[in-house]
Amino acid sequence: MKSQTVERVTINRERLDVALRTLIAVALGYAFSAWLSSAIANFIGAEGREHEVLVRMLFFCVYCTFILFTFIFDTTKKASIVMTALSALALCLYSISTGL
Amino acid sequence: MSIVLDVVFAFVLTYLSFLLLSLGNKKHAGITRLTSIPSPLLIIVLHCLAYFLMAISLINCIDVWKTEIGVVVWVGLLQLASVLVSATFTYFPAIYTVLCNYLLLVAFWGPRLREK
Amino acid sequence: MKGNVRKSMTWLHTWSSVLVGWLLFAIFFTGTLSFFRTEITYWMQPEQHAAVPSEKALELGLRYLAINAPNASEWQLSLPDARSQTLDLSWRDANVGNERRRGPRVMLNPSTGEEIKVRETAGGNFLYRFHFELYGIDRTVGRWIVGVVSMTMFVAIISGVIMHRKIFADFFMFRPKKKLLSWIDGHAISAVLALPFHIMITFSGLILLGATLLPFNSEERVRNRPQGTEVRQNAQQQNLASPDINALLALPISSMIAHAESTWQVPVESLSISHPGKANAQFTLSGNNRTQLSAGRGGSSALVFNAQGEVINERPASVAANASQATYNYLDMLHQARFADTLTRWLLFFAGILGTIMVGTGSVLWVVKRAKQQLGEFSFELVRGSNIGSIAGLMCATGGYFWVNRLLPADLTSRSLWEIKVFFAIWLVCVVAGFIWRDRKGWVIQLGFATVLFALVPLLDHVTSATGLDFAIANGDSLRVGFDLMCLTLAAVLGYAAYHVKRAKAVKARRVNSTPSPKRKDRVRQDKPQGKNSEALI
Repeated sequence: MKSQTVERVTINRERLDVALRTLIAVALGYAFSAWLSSAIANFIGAEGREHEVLVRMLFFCVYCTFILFTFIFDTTKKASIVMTALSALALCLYSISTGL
Repeated sequence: MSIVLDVVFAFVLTYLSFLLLSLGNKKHAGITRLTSIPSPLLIIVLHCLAYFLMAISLINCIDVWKTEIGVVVWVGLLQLASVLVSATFTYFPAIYTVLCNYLLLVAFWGPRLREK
Repeated sequence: MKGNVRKSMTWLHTWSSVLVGWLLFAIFFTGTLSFFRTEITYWMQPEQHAAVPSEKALELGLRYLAINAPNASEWQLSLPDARSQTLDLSWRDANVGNERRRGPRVMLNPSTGEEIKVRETAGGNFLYRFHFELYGIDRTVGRWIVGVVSMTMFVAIISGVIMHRKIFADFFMFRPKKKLLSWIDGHAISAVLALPFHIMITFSGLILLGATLLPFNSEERVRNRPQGTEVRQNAQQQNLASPDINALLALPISSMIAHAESTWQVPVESLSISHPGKANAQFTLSGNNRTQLSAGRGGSSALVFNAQGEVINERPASVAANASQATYNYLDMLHQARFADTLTRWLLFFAGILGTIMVGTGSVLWVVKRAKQQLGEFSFELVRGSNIGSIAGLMCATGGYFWVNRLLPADLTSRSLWEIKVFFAIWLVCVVAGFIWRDRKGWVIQLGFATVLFALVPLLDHVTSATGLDFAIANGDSLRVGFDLMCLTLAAVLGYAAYHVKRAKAVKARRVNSTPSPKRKDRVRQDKPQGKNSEALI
């Protein structure tokens, strides 16, 4: 009975772990990729159509890398901290690139 | 007609290059006259020859279709040739053996160069 | 995840793929068929089959236009080429003004000059549109769904490369009749050997959907888009005198075509005549003469002649403004195969088939791998059942789509809608049947049904087309014969698959009834993680 409860708790914890990682990968990854790709395009000095296509191409490469890295870390806590820090950095870069 | 010959030429070269690459694999080499594990040096030689043939094929494709489209055709031919090499080995091992032994002359240099 | 990088990637690869597997298969399959959407539409309009390319095509086209569009400000003639047997004409009426972007269009038999009235059909265009915006839902929602699936695919491809331990050692390795190993090899070989294509098609698909998926990025472009760019400038509000047919035919158009073809070394595909019949008439000749993909859609050059047959302007191919645009154009052109000649189109199609096999074998592999441990569990049974409906069921639906195209009355109202309805009805029935018969029986029934549908397509074509297949063969109609041959090939592959799955049962029965030999025992031990009779449980 006790072992069953422990097993259930472990399964629930694993599910929560996966859900949290997925949320970080999808939502935070989207924001991170948007900021970073826009920042790079801004730093390069691309404008108009060039800016748009450059952001499009960079975005999906960055997004894919972000998702992969979110699932590489051995603990969710580590993944959350590192990915949030990286996103904050990307936001800073984006802000600098737009001159804010 | 000339474009057909160009395609055939490029394809044959890519096919031969993948045959050479496959000989670096123990199981593939095992059914040819190269009956034991290919030595590291032999693998390097096989790879160099294969890349040389691939380069000629690429140059031919670029010559016919120009750089941007030529590269696309070449990659397409590589994909087709690699699948066909795999299929030849799996479903027609006798043909694979004959091609390697007599077209790539493995029967001649294989027994001399294989790892003792 | 817990464990090393490879384990994490394996987990991500498995779960990201299995969640979107069935939709991904449909997108890959319909997308691959879309490389030949013009040819599919041609087959689905048998009225076109009587058309035979002829040297008289140009003359017949000019005659038709001179009689039926004498007041047009511009004529367009698309000559028969490798992808079209017919002569397509269109014109812009000088009196209509600027509000209509495209003028009337007609299709002629290039050997007789008779007008061809084609039946209404969804054709290859339905498969093409389905692969990037699905059907029956809001276009934006459809594109979002396809975008999410494509992104998942992109993650699955990259994680798949990282997790593959023996990517070079097993480069050519396919081991048939080895149960789970065969599925793994089939999945790996179709993925690795066409990896450049898989990465290209997924990434380019994503950037093509970028306008939808990245709304923050498109805002500026929409806001700054110049207004009225599509307004045509050459329509004049005046009545023009009818052009003289004999004078028109006396013009040196043939020498213009010969000049253009000798310059480009490719056939002229279309001819545009502005101010037809006037002294200031201009003849613009174009063909598939592009040498650069990075130039984008305007990558073909054109030659402009005057009425005396002299070159008055060489309209060069466009050039990408910068490296980013060039890269984007390259990927765009590759994904849509707009540049492709027959060989390149077939090579892309072949790679697309490998992609479809990769997705299909991946989905089946998930089930085969877990057959022993999870048989009977809801999630396992869900994937097991949906695999049948999404893989074999889609084949049935596509085969049924071609059949219904020929069986519905040609003059039926909303005909194309009925074709699509039947396509989805068959697919729905197959999905439900897949959930009911989730074992070999389900596979055998649906694969067998699809085999029959595709195997009989040539017969259906012969019987229901205005001209039989003998006519097509005699006149070198490679589009139609090629379509029928592809259906036969697909039928052979599906038939083999059905036979293979059916045979799995016999293997199981034999094994139960006989004592395994020592050799067999060894093999079973080697294959231990695969689960006994796992293949029979797909």
